[in-house]
Amino acid sequence: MAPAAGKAQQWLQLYSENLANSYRASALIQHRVTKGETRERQILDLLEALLPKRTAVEPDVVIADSRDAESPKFDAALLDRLFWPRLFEQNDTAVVMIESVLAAIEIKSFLNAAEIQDVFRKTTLLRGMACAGKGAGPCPPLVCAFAYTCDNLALAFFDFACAYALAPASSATLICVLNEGLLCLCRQDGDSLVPVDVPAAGLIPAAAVLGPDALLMFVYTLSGWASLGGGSLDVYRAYGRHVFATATVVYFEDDYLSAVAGSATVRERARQAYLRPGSASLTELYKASRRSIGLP
Amino acid sequence: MPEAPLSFRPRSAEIRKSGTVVGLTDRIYDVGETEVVFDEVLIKGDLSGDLDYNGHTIRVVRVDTAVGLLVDGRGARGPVWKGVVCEVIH
Repeated sequence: MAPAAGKAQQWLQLYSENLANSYRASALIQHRVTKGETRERQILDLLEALLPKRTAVEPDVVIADSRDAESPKFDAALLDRLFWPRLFEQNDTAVVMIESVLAAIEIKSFLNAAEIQDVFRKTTLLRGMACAGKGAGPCPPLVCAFAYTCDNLALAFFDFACAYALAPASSATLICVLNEGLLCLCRQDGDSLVPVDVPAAGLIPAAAVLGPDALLMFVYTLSGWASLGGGSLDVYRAYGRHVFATATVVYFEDDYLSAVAGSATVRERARQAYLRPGSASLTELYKASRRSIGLP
Repeated sequence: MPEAPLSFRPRSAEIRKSGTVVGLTDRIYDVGETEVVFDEVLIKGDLSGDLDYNGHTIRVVRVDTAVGLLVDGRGARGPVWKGVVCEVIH
């Protein structure tokens, strides 16, 4: 029997419900730009309220490097405001040094292949920018995304894993799907997988199906980035211990990931198995996908 | 499809109490649902009350042998507890 949720877990679950309700309420707005901005504000306001204040969650920042290149527009950035100056600010628009950015954040109403590609395209451009020196966090900065909905998490995981396998160093670190789970990068540690922040070759794309606790794990991860290596995460885990003690991830085996990364034809054939999941579990879909490309 | 526990820090042999290392196990142990038994723990501090072992809260309930100075093929060390039975709180 699952242990009763602690207060921190319950609060984050209630935040998740609120976000889901706000998302449904904003669906009534017909103006697409206004609707998108409303949804961005809902999650960004929550992150601003919950993350350590040493950093700021800011929308509409332009990330620039010392060679005068600018990043594509992200919905928000997690910035170190304590020690890093800005390059420019006027009204609500700021230009910031890439070294001061801990993470770029994308907000998606709906997660699908096109949106995952969009996140990875922007990540590639951001991670291709120059770092003039040691940054507040990893430089080039990390990229994460938050999605309100996803009607096929198995397919999204497949697309995320393929995107990572094709360009490991240009991968987003984390995608949170509200009330569903997290898509993340991990490394093997004995029988466990340990989440990894900085994308690199040799990692394992993984999916954590967390249901209403996805937001807690997302806030936890961003808190780690925002606390710049402080010890608060060890304490945070104690408050959400029921989630952290039981969380598991699923992942694809190496032979499968190599096969789908190595050929667009194989990748498309493997992808077909996830398109109409019905009531099949992720494991069943994965088995069917393996069979479809001739793997046992 | 492979499934694995998500670990939020590298597992270690450290037993901590309020963040301070108070014991070192002879290897890294998997923690069961209700109980974990360490073959050997090198004592570094106070092992009473709630302890943290790789994210699990445990409590020592029985020690088979307490040795002041243990000398064997792995060298001399101590104090050492052997056969340490711990209850898993969560």
